[in-house]
Amino acid sequence: MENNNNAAQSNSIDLLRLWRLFKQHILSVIIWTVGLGIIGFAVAEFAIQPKYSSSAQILVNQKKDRDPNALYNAQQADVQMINTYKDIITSPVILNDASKYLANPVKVVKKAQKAKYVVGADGVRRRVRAAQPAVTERDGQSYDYSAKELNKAVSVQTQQNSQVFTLTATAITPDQSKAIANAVANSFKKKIPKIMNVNNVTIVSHASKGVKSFPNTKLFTLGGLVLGFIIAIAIIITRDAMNTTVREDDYLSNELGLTNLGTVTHFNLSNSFSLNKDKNKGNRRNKRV
Amino acid sequence: MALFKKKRGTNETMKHGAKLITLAKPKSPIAEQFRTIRTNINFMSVDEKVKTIAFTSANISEGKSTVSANVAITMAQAGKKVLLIDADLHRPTMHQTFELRNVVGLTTVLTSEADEIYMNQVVNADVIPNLSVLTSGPIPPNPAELLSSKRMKAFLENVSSHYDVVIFDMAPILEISDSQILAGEMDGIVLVARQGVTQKAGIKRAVEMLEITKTRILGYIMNDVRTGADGYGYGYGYGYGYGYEQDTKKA
Repeated sequence: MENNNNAAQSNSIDLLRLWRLFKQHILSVIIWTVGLGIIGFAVAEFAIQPKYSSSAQILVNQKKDRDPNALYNAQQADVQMINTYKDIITSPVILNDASKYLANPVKVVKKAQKAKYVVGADGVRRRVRAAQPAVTERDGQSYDYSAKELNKAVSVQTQQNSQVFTLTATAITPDQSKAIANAVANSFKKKIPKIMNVNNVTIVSHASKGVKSFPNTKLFTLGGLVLGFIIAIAIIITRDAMNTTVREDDYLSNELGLTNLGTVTHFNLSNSFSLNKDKNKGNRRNKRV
Repeated sequence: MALFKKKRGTNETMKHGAKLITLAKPKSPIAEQFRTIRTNINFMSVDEKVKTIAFTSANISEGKSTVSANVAITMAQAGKKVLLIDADLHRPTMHQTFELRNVVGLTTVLTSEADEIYMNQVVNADVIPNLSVLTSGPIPPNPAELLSSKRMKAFLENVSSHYDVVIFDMAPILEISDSQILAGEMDGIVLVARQGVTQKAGIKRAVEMLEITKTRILGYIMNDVRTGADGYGYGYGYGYGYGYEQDTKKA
């Protein structure tokens, strides 16, 4: 019991000491904390190249079965299929197509038309209208992304019991992330019917301009603050532990057994104080007496 | 290499003298702390008369001169006839502190061939009322021999009969061997420790060395305590000081 008490006492003294140390070095703690916080903020804001991510949502639905009894099962099957879609999206089949599209993003405005022929009464086949090539339109800027790079940039998230899954693309500019997400989603929509015999792929929501996803400035700043605080405390405690000077009466009076005759507080007296002035004053006084 | 070498000590006191706060601000809390020290030293001499007291420390620049000068002043203010001797022949400061000439002093007495020396020729009598100061004198090449000479012993006996208290400002005990020799001749030794500067090992060794000389260690004085700093200062000196000030106002 007594031992316990002693231990508790020494513990509380340690805490008290720690608190006193902390108060004594409060300025350096603040400087370290705020300083590293600012550094963390600056690194996140200016040093690290930011990454932007943008998401498109895709729904794959097999419309085959209209039987209400089988509907639930079909839905479950669709949900389970999502994992397969996930793998397909990140497979070269889709990504190569997306890569091609990104390199030359064109949109077909008018499909190519074959030439039209009419067989006349004389049996001669005559061309009524010449064949027309497809009219395409440039659909945004082109980006150079290989399928491998796209594989790294694209990720797919699913939610439980939902047939909608989210395709997220991460890139160094908001526009690029948007373009990648949309290109991959479109390629998927285009290719999947042939691959899996799925007839109904809907892009529920197209990717919009990417938002900054990395670095998280708040997190970096907070990390800097915490790290600064920890470093400051560590330095203070280490320095205190390594300080072998006399700082308490305890050592001199208890360990060395010396009598405490008194304490002199730190004081400052300017050098301008002169003894002789006092002496003169004294002399004058003496003369008067 | 100077990068990791801490600068040891200062020459502040040697250039400008110790700070006589007991004279400059007699009502300050710090002056009151010195009066407390005076009282405590008085209590120490109840059983055995303590007439010769030396102030020393483990290393240089820990406040020996400041503490010894101020304690001497408070003793003089209490009406005792005090002689303050600068026995630090390596870094003498008392002549600076009391703005005296250091042409004659302790070394003059010790090196003189004469059988009789008139004290009033070497001692600066009544620098302030009741306080006489004997400066170090010209610094000799062999201070240890001087301080351990028979002449020193005779001189000590002589002065202690003339004054109520003789206070020695000694060289640091760990650095200069003469201090140990001189300490053996004293009635009592007061160790000055400076908070945050004096090494624990240093003061321990100083105590050991003083125990070898069989000198009575009256106690220690913790110097340069910073209130609010770690350690257990609590600044109780301030409480005393304010009380004193109020008293004087009432009076």
